[in-house]
Amino acid sequence: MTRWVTLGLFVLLLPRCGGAAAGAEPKTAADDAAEAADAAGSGAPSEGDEADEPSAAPEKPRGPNCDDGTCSVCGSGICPAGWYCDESAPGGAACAWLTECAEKVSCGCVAKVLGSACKCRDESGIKVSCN
Amino acid sequence: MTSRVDLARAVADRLPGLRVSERSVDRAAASRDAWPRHLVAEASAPQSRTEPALVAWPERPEQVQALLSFAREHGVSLVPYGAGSGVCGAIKPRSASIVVDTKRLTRLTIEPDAGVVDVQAGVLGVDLEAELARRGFTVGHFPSSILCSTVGGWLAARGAGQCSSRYGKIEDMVVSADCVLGTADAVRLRRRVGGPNPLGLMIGSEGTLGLITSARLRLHAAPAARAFAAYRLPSFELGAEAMRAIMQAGLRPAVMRLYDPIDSYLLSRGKVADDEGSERRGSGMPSGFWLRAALGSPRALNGAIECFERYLSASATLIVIFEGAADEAHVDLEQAERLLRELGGSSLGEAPARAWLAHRYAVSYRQSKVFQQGAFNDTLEIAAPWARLSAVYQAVRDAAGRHALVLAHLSHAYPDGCSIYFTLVATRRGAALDRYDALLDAVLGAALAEGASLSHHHGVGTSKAHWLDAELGGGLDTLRRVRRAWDPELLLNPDTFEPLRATPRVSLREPVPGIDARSGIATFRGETPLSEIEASARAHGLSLGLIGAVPRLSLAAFVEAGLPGIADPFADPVRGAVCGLEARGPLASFRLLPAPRRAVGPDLSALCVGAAGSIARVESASLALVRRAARSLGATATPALLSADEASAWQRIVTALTLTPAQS
Repeated sequence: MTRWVTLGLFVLLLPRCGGAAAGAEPKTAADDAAEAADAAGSGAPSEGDEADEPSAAPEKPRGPNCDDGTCSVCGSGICPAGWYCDESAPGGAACAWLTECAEKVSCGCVAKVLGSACKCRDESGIKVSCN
Repeated sequence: MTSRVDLARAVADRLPGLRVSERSVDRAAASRDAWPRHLVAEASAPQSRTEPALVAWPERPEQVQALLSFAREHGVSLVPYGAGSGVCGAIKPRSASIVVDTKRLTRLTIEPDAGVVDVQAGVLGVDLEAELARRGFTVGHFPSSILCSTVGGWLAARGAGQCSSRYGKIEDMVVSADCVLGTADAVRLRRRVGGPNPLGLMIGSEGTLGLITSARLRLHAAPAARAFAAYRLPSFELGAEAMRAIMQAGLRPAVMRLYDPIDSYLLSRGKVADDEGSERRGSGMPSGFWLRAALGSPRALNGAIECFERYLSASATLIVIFEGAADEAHVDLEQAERLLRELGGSSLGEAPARAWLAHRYAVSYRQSKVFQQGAFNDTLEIAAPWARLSAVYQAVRDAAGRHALVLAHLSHAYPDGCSIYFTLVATRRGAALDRYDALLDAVLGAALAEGASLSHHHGVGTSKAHWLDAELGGGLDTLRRVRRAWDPELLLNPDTFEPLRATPRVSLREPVPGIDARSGIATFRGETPLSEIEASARAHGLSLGLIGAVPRLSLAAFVEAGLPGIADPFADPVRGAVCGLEARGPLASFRLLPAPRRAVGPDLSALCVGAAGSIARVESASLALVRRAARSLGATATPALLSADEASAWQRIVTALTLTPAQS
């Protein structure tokens, strides 16, 4: 059985070799795994990426472009998707997360957990302000 | 203290200016870090989290000191908190704890003439580098978490940035650190050669020995130029060889990252995958369908990947970036490219390296996508000498492959070894928590058994605590004595480093005495004359790299004297000196297997290096060697005496590790 599964996965990977564009193809384990690898710190770029980096510093470290929904700006930092930004934190705006809302962070979930003392808005990420 | 209300009132009475919160929102936010197991646990079996009693935001070091005094008087535990992006469960407050959030410790003073920056613990990494960039400087520490991590967190976890192969890890950047020990004594610990170096104990202590309030970090001129290249290597092993050759030739790339075949292939498609995402969401195909299906049979998935590597593409991708003065960056790159071509590398041009740099911080922000697709992922970054790297890589892949999809890259290279960064992805279906624990233990057990260190830069926290005694060669008891020396009541982050489960049995691979020419490491018994070691090294084209004549000392005496003749570590921060050590004393006993860099708690070698044998005798040691043809390493550093406050702190350590309670 395992051999057949292996063969199937091998075939699944096979046609993708060579990096041909596959705009209409369904998302595969390979693609998802690439995201997973990206998520945890790999992040090698594709060979076709355009060079847009000047060859010299100094420069302020530039954060990721959060337009893809993977993050949101919070104070001078950035929160990963799944986290919320507490703009009223006594230490200054800070990222935080709730396990109750990790599956799908939303104002509905965050407000339910944090209670009525907190106001929540979804504005390029979940922003919370509490009394 | 009977209740949170009482505690809050007592703090307010004692520390009227201290900002404190009892709000649920603040206590919830400070209740843990970003350890993925928290997510898996909550998803598997929802449970109430343990929230601390209070969160405090000191604004001055004196408030931290007063808080420590208060904690001692009332027996309250304190848990330091930066930006919460740690991934090892080091933030684990008890319900009666006070979390000390450092984010209002934000003073930053650049001293260009002295070449240092004084920066308080709560400064966010991105703010520090932005300010330095405005003045034409850099510290050179660029973790991918730079937008959600603090300077204090970097020191506490013994972190590494993406440019560690040029600037070193955080411990290589610290000139001094201001701390408040668990005894409530404020002390400035300075970097020191030629004598005891208690700073080595504080860095990596993960909030257990003291609260770090600020650090003085070394400055570099911001690079005037960068030079980029990317190469395809015929195999992962040859890619690793290329990295080794580059580092051992004395080249110091700011960035050098090698992706294994499947990682190279998958990630080369990253842009396509992102572009497809929005269309696919509307296609009716459940997002992550293939991921969930494949992860249901991880053995088969990894088997398919091995087939892919064996029959279709075994090539690995290396990206390399040099920076510095314009001439330096391009000349160094040319030399590196020569080495790459000699090893069969074929150029991919500049674009992949440039693109990596442009997106260098984006990689940390996609974990929740994996979670939302019914899976979890974690990363483990182990370190090993070059000679063990391939065996470690294969052993971990084999062990973890039974539980998860395994990807890997090499990204922190040193002359004597490298870190392997494993990305592990597994399904949350079924007994996810059991799977998570089995996966972690499989990886860590395999890594240790093959001669690697548990962690290169993430730290230990609670996630790896049950493996710590094995990593330290039975040294957990010594670590506990160090803790009691500086924190007698164990009030600082009390649960970190303490095993939550029984320590698994594992047979560690014994380092072979002699010269490991591949890694450039000399491992000898303590009584071996240094001249004999130098002669053995020279027979392999290596050297101890000492400035001046080789001292007439045994290896043990050389280490205990603080490595006389060794070049100032600031001259080449990535070189390292003592990469392994075995020591025995009346109450201290530990063994660190040779590894290029480790982040496994306080650096216990600080109990021996420069300590004149006052705590333990060196039974054996592993020294990092230099290629005789490599660049000159500069001058020795001037030994500095301990200040009064340092001497007092050091004496506490000596007493705790040499005298039984009855004697003391």
